[in-house]
Parts: sequence; structure tokens; C-alpha cells
Amino acid sequence: MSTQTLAPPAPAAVRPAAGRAPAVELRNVSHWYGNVVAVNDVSFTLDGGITGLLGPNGAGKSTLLHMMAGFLAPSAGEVLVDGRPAWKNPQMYRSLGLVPEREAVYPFLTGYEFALMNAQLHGLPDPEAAAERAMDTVDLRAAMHRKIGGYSKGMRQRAKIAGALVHDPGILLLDEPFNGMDPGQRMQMLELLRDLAARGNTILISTHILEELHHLANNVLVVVAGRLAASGHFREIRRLMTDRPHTFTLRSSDDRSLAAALMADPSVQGIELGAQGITVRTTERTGFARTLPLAARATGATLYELRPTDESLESVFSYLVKR
Amino acid sequence: MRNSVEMTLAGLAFRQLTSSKRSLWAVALAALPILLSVLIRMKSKTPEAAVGEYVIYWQTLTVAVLLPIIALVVGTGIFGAEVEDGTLTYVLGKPVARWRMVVTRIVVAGLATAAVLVPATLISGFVALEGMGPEGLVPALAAALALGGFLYCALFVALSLATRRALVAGLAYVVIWEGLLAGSFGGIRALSVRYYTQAFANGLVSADVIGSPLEPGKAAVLAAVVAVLAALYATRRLRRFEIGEAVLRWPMGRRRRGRTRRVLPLLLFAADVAGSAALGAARLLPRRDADELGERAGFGAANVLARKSCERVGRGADPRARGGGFDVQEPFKLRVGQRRALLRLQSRRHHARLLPRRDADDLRQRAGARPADVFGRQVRERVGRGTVSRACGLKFRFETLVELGIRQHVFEVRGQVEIVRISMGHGCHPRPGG
Repeated sequence: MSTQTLAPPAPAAVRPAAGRAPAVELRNVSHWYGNVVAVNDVSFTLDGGITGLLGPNGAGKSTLLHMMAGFLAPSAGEVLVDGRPAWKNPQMYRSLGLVPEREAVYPFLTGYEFALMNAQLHGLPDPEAAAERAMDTVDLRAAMHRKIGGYSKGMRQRAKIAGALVHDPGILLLDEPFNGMDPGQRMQMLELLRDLAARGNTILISTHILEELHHLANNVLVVVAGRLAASGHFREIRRLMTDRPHTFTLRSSDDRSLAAALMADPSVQGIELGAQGITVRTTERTGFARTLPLAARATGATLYELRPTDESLESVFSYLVKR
Repeated sequence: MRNSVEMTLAGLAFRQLTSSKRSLWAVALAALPILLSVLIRMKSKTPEAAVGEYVIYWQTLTVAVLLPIIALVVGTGIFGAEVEDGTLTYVLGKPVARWRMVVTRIVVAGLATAAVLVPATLISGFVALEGMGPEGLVPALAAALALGGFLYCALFVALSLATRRALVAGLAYVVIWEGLLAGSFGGIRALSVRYYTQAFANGLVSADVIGSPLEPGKAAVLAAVVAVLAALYATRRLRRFEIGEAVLRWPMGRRRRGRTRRVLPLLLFAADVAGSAALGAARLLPRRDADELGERAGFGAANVLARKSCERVGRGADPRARGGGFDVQEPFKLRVGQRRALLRLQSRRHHARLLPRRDADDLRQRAGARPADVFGRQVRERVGRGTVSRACGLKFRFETLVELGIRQHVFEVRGQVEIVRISMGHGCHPRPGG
């Protein structure tokens, strides 16, 4: 299979035939470190295409990925890759590649040597050709004979991806692949990943930034505090995250009359008047954004400060969990 | 193709080693024996004395300190660095059996250790002895070091996968286990790489210049068992390798400390028993010799000697030896000047029996470390008179005889009555179950 170039395989292989085991399947998977539950009863299947694994830091994304890559034993449940357990099954690496989050790559190897090492350890019949192909795929040919120790973050990231791609795996797991990449490199990476997905590969990308998945992942899994909080199409998830009750605090020259004017607007759900200003709860962010300046002008109040109180990522996610 | 996987693994491990600063320290350590050899050369008047000095430094410095330290640095670093920075996943995420990774790395670590110590030993041997001494002595010492290096590496590789504090644990093993405990417990000695290394050297040198308390054949078997167990354990750990594993707690947690203190003597006792049991198991092997006879007889060398004297004068073999299920075909060559001296030997047997076992053990152990001095001192202590002189570590002369623990030596004994010459050597061929 290694001689096969990265050219698109026959269309039949793009989508798996019915009855074949899905590329990755998690059945009621939990993982805990001592008393800390990192992943709590998560089930999903991945089969073809790009899937985004979204969640705040510490939500258990990496734990999930590592379990899929066979580097963590599920404390409960089953993690199956191509229908077989991922844990203690090195043979599954023939069809799986992992790009770990940690930046460290052997600094004493060149990019090419790193890819070559991966190819040789996979026992590919022509490791040199595979390594060069992988270097081309990630567009590192120009720098492939330089030591990885001297690479930039983005180049290192691409070298890691080349190492994971060298045996043309059907499943590619990427842990925070966009960290440290500039917009140009990010675009390049998007192209590459979309390209791979078009060939029927199953790709899972973990990230804590929703927008990174824009135009990339059709399917998004949201993980919060170890639980699968939501899953669905990117647009669906984004709508869920933006159109939700928001809370703002604002200070103005005339809090009381401003509060009264705002209360009249249908987008405002509740107002609390305190010594520090007013706290406004609204159901619709865009509507409120239009109402506020109008109300301020109508009452003649001067706005000093407008601040969303719960825009942190965690609160966005915890909202999703509460639903 | 299979070969190329191993070569790739080895190449990576090797480049990992050479790129780390810790390994440079290991190479620097190797200069020590060479410096010492120059000192020995300058200090020693006769080549025989140089041989003795050289062997002693080989045992106390190279085997006891340099070998374990270098192997510790190399062995724990060969997986440790990659575990630390997480790059091990690039190696582990491959469809390659884990035992192949373990074996390749142990071999690379062993080769690296040998590459540091073998040249140092050869050079220092050449400088100190200039080709004198027993034939093949220096190459044998170097080869024993290489073997011991592999063993240490196997052990430390396993350790580095067992705990994040492999360096500390390894140091504890070397200093406490091999340095302190093995001196007092015969069983622990049988489970210590340092003594294996000495036994290997003993087996490889034709003349017995290294008094080793372990018999080479037995040591080889025990060493092989230790190496295999270490590799199996490392493989098991690697198969269950988890990323971001919670840092293993040192077993001496605050709450556990009290329990550890209570359990520690038990553990020591268990280790001693296990080592003795391992020795016992190894004893079932076909290779038999004088040392073993001594052990079988139960009380160490003195009894054997006494027994041999009985045999020589035709009074039959020691009943205990009979009970052990073997027969002595041709006893040690024991030439006794006069019958009265022989009687002395026999009476000494009873003295030796009165010694507590620990004492006899200790004597043998010390004889192992420094045959002549200790041996001589022991004689003085027991008898309270007479002088012992030692020449080149091969010959002993002393006024009267108490115990002889080292085989293949020639002793000259000046008894109260006559000069007695005893040579203990090969020629003992017991038959199992005879």
C-alpha cells in the first residue's frame, strides 16, 4: 500500500462500503487519571471526511485523541480503529497517523530524515520515495535537508504531519495542528487537509478555536469537561454558540433612564440596576447591538463602558452543556 | 526489510545518545582508569605488584563505580529523553513489536557503554602492565566489562520505563544494593551485576587473579535470567506506555514511610532468600567445581579443605558430601609434608564449624574483594601470630593455616611442625547423584 502514490484512489474507496467497520469508533469511552475524570462516557464514530474536535483547554480533547492513537487505555468502554481495539495493538498504526500536540521533534534529524525514519519504521518497501513524497505533500522540499532544530514552528508542524502521512494512513489524527502557524501557513494546511479528506481519508482535528474549523470541518464534535456536549455541522454549532443569551454590563451617565429605555426593547430579557452600572441580559446579540445606541441617544445618556460578562470560552461551552 | 527496521531504531537511538550532553560526561569518566594506570605504573616496582594493583583498581573503581555510572547515564537516557519530551510517540506509533524496540535500545546502550569502557580498559591495561601478568588478563577484563555493561543497561532501561526517577533509583541500586547490602548478604550478591561482572572476568582469565565469590557458570546463568527478565519487563511497560501518564509517585510517600520501614527488613530478607534460591537453582547445572563443593558442604571453604585432607589419606569422603548426592572422583591435589600437619588441618575443621555462618560468608566475600590482604589478616586475627606476605596476588605464604577460600591458588603453609604445601586446583569431577 505504500507504493501507492498520494493520488486519489478509486472512487469506490472514497466512501467505505456498508458493513465494513467504521474507521474510528468510540463506545461509551471514559478515562480517568486517579480521581480526575478526563473523558466521561463518550461515544461517536468517524468515517471519512474531516471532523473537528472542539473544546476548551483541559476538556479532554487530547485524552480522546491519545486513546484513539493507542497511547492511553480507556478506563471504561471501547476505542476501536478499523473495528479493532486501539490499545496495545501496534498493527493498527498501519492505517493511522498521529500528529501530537507537543512541539518536540528530534532536533538532530533533518525533515527528510525524520520522514524517512517514519517510513522505515513502517516497513515501507521504498522508504526514500515515500519520504520525499511526504515532504512534497507538506511543501517542505526546499528545507528538507535542514535540521528540524532550526525549523520555525510552522515548519516543524508540517514536518510532524509529513511523518504522520508518510505511510498514507486512512486515519489522521491532528492535535491542535494550527498552533503557532501564521495565516499563510494555516491556509496551506487547510488546503492540504481538504485535499486529503477529498481522497476519502478520515481526519480528526482537535482545536479550541471554533473559527479554525471554518471551511474545513463539516462535522464538529464539542467536548466540554470530558463530555460530548454537542455534535453537528459547523454552521449549526456556530449558530448555537452565537445565538444564545448574552449578558453585558454597561456604565453610562444616566443608568436609570437608559435601563428604562432598554427594557422597552424586545431583545432585552432582563435588567439589573446596581451601583456599578447596569447588567443587561439579552436573547439576541445582534438585536441588542442595534438597540443600545438608539436607546442611548433617545435618553441622552453617554455610554462609558460596555462589556460582555461571559465571553470566555468556558462559559460558551458550559452554556452548551446546560442545554 | 526487517533488518532495516532494527537499523533505523538503532540509528535513531544512537543519534539520540550522541546528541545529548550527558553522554559526553560518560566519555570523560573513562579517562579516570587511564590516569590511574599511569600512577600504578609509576608506583609499582615489580610487574607482579602492578598486576595486583591493576586488578584491585579494576574491581574497586572500574567495575564498582565507572561501569554502573556510565551504564546508568546511557541506559536511563536511551528511552528517558524521549519519554520526557514526548517524542517517543514517533517511535511507538509504528507497527513494530515492542520487544524489538526494547532489545535494539538495550543493545545500543550496551554498545555505547562498551565503546566507552573497553578502550579505556585496554589502554590502561597496556599502560600499567605493558603486557605482563597472566596471559589474556586485560582483554578478559575488558570483555567482562562489556558483558556487565549490557546487563546494567538492560536493568537501567527497564528502570527508566518503570519510573521517572530512574536516575535516583538506579543510583540507589548501585550504592545501596550492590555497594552496601551485597557485602553482608550472600543471596543479594547473587542478584547483583557487579558480582556477575567479576565472575565473568574470573571465568575469562585463565589464572585466578580476581577472587570472585560467584562462580562464573552460575553467574552467567543468573545474568542471563536477569537480562531476560529486565527486557521482558521493559517490553511490558512499553506496550502499556501512556502519554501524559501521571508522574509515578516515589514509593516513599509520607504516609507510607512507616510501613516501608517495617517492610524493608522483610524485603531484604526476601531478596537474600531469593538470591540464595537462585544460587541453589544454578547449582543444579552440570558445571561443578571446588567452590561449589564448598557451598554444598555447607560451611564454606574450610570444610572442603578439611574434607579434602580426609580423602587424601584414604579415610573416605566427607559424609555430608555423600549426603549431597555426589562423589569426588579425584580430590584436590593436596601434598602434605607430614602427617602431623594433616592432623592439624583436621582439627581446624572443627574450629571452622564453630564459626557463625555469617562470618564464614564474610570471609569469603572479603576474600573476593581483596584476596591476599583480607585473607592474611584473617589468619592473623584467628591465630594471633605469624606473618603473611603476598606476592603478585597469586602466592601466599603464611605461618599457619586456618581457612582457604580461594581455589586454584598455591599456598605455602609453614605449620608449627613442617612446611606444608597445598595446591588446590582442577581435577575434581563429581558426578551428580553418584
